[in-house]
Amino acid sequence: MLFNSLQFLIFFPIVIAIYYVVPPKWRYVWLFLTSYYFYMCWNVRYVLLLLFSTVVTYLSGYLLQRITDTDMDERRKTRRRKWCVAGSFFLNLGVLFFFKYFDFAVENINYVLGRLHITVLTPSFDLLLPVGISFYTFQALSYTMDVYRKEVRAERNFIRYALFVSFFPQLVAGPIERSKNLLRQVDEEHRFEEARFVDGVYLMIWGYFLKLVVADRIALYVDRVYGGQEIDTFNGWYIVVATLLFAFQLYCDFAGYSTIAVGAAKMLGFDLMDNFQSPYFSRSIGEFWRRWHISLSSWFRDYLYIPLGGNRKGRARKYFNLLVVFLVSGLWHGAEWTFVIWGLIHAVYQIVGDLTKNIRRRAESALGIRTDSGVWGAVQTVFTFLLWDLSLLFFRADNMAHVRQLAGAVAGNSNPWILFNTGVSDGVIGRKSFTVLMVSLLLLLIVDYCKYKGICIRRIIQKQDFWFRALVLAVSVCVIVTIGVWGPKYTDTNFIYFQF
Amino acid sequence: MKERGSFALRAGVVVCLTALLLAGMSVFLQRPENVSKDRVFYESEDTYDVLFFGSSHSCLGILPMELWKEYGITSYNLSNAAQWLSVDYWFLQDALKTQKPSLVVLDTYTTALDGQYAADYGEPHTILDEMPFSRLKWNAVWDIMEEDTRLEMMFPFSVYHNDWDSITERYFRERIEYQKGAYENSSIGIPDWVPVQEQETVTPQPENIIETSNTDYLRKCIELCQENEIQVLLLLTPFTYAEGEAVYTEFLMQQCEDAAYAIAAEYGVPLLDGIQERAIDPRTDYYDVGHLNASGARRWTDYVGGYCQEAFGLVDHREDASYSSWWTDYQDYMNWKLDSMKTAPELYSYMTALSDTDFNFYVWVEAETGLAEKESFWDMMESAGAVRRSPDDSEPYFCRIDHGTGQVQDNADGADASLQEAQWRIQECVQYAEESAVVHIYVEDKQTGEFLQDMHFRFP
Repeated sequence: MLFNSLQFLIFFPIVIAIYYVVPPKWRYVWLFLTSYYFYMCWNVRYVLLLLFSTVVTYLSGYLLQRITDTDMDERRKTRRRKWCVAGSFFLNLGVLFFFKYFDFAVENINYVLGRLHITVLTPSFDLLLPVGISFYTFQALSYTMDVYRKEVRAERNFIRYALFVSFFPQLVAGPIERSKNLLRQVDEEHRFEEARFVDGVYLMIWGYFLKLVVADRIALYVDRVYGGQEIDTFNGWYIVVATLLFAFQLYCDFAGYSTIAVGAAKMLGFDLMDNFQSPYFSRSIGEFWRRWHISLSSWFRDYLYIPLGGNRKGRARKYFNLLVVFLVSGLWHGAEWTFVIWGLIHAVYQIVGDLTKNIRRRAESALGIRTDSGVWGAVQTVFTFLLWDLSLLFFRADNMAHVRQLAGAVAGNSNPWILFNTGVSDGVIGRKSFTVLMVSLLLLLIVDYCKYKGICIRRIIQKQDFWFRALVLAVSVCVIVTIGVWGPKYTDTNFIYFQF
Repeated sequence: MKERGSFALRAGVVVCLTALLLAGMSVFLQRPENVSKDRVFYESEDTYDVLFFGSSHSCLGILPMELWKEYGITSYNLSNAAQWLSVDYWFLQDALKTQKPSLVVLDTYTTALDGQYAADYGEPHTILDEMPFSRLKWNAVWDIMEEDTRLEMMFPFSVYHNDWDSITERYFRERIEYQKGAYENSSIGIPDWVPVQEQETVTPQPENIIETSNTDYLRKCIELCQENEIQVLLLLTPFTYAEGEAVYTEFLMQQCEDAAYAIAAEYGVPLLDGIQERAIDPRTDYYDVGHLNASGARRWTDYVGGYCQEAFGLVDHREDASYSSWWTDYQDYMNWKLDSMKTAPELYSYMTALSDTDFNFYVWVEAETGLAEKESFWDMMESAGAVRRSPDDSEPYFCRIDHGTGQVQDNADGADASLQEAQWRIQECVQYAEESAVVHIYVEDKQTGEFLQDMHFRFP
């Protein structure tokens, strides 16, 4: 069930209405049932995987807590606790590996063996990737780690714990919540609060705007240019423009989903973490990763980078740790070499950035550049964006052959005039559609800049009188419904991050 | 800030406001071409003596305004492209909610087609979107559409909202109301494009009827009319077949004929068979193998009108003052005809207008054009009532087609005084024509003799 499907637009109001009718202490049961229904709408059988992950991490938490609470010699305790964590990680990551990486691994092993002239017949499974498996697996594992670190106590109520893993607003594409935040809220009783409810509505509307109006309209452009069937026409600067637009598509698609998720959760009385904080206003790649897909970045920081030693064990080890984290992050996004290279690029960005930090400082001071000036900030922002965008070529391309084809089509064709006449829009999605897209992007940048500066537009709107707010809501819905990309002419467009 | 009213009340206001705005957008964005076709029908009650139902054949082939002009019959053409009898059945039920016609005319062409409704969703939208939201519409959609398209047929805004980027002047203009549901096609099927020289035909064999879903629906339509005491006429609008044609084959024509005759006999209702009756000129009256052009539509409408008046005793309302609005509409219709004639892309398309009895035409062809060998030109002239000539190429050819007096005169045997005067008139226009144009046509009002338009062409 996609957030932008009719099914969800019927499902969600029913869930909300019944949720606030059910006595508060039983509401979590209703949410648990609806969350499992939500997941089963994709594939009934795959709910067993969700259940498996839930049971394994629930039991690991239970055992960890029991070991912690028993009187035992500390060394033995620690060893047993480590076994619990290892067991939970092994089983969860094993399932993830099987469903997501098995074919990729087999393909690469076969390739290597083939180069050595060894023919091996290996079974290949045509597996459908379970939706959201990377998200809920990581969320469940964070619980194991948090109990292990004694940051939370194990949850005894299985239904409450199962709801923590399967909470439908963020089940299939995050934000990847921590037990410290979400599990605590699952235990709380949620009463209807108007201000919070309305805030959730605003968030959902903004999320739908990002998804239906911006991301899916850009998708029409990018899919056509990147499709490859019309590479003789759409080459050179078309690909450059499409790659620039893809950065916004990816952002609006994912941030759109996250915002709808946060809004829906808020309407149910839950506070989820903010997954994006104006990432395209970052002044360095390091800052970018603190603002982009925060729930995943912080997961890697807390459960991989820091356990590896973080930056506490010298510079070389720090760079190695960064490399590991970003390669794993690349693989997390997909079982393709393009994602691995994308991760590698980001590790290189960070390492080179760190290595050249002092040189850059000295150069700035020698050239008399005021680093706190707006102009210099803008230059850094644009440069950071371009570095990010360059890496997206690997993120968007289907495989390495596609990357080579696109790079060749950019290098081999110079058609900058399309930027100065209407060519950039007319032949691809049409001038009016392109204009709407540009206006939408401008609105997005304004809103994001306000957020960057700590100005919350929702709060400003909420301070206005009723009729103004009513009009804002009604007009927003009307605009999204009218100019959004939906309906029988287009199939319900999937969210990009569902595949991860 | 302390809010006034309960949350439920305020939420209700927001929902209503949103719904109102969306409804407004929905009405505004509905495609104008659909709205112009049948909205006027839904805006009137008990206005029409005759209702026509059918597919593109009758949509292009029946012109209610011509029926009004010639016979004073008030009619509406509820045919549409790809409208099967299955759709006719529901459309008819919906029409009978507000209309009490004396006669329902059903085109039987789609009896040869079977299965669920046409796969191209564009066509059902054109047909059904004007039908008001009702239980009947729900039943219709449920009956004729596939499962995955029912919702979008009930709520067509899911399709129309995409049309915001094609908003043009048409969205703001007044709707076309005077054609009474007909499309008039001004183009001719050029004989060397569609191999129609002689109308092909077959012999009806009703005993060989092949039952289809649409033969069932035809029966249902007839029964519905009979229950409501409405007379029924079955129609086969002229069409032909050609070798190499995917749709229009001899087999298809045979199937249509067999079904139409069989069902007409089964219910004892009359059938007007345009394939057998030869009411049109097959050389000039087809737009393509399956459809009539403007000239064919006028002739076929005239034929159908004559038959209806005689067989069903329909009242002539032309002198009735309470029907004066039909004459106002007719004037609009005439103006529209003149406008669309101007858009004719080439000579032979334009020449389909020569048979239009609302206007007088003067045709002037310059010398040294090899006119004697222009077969298509002479077919068109002959069809409009002129005499086929082999003129001397050194002299220009001139002909006056006077629908007011019914006289057609040319300069083959010399020109009398009135013809000469007409010749001077057209010569005045020729001086403003493009140099390459060699055929000049001058149009005047049949009643007043007032100049209406002049057009200049090369031979295609």
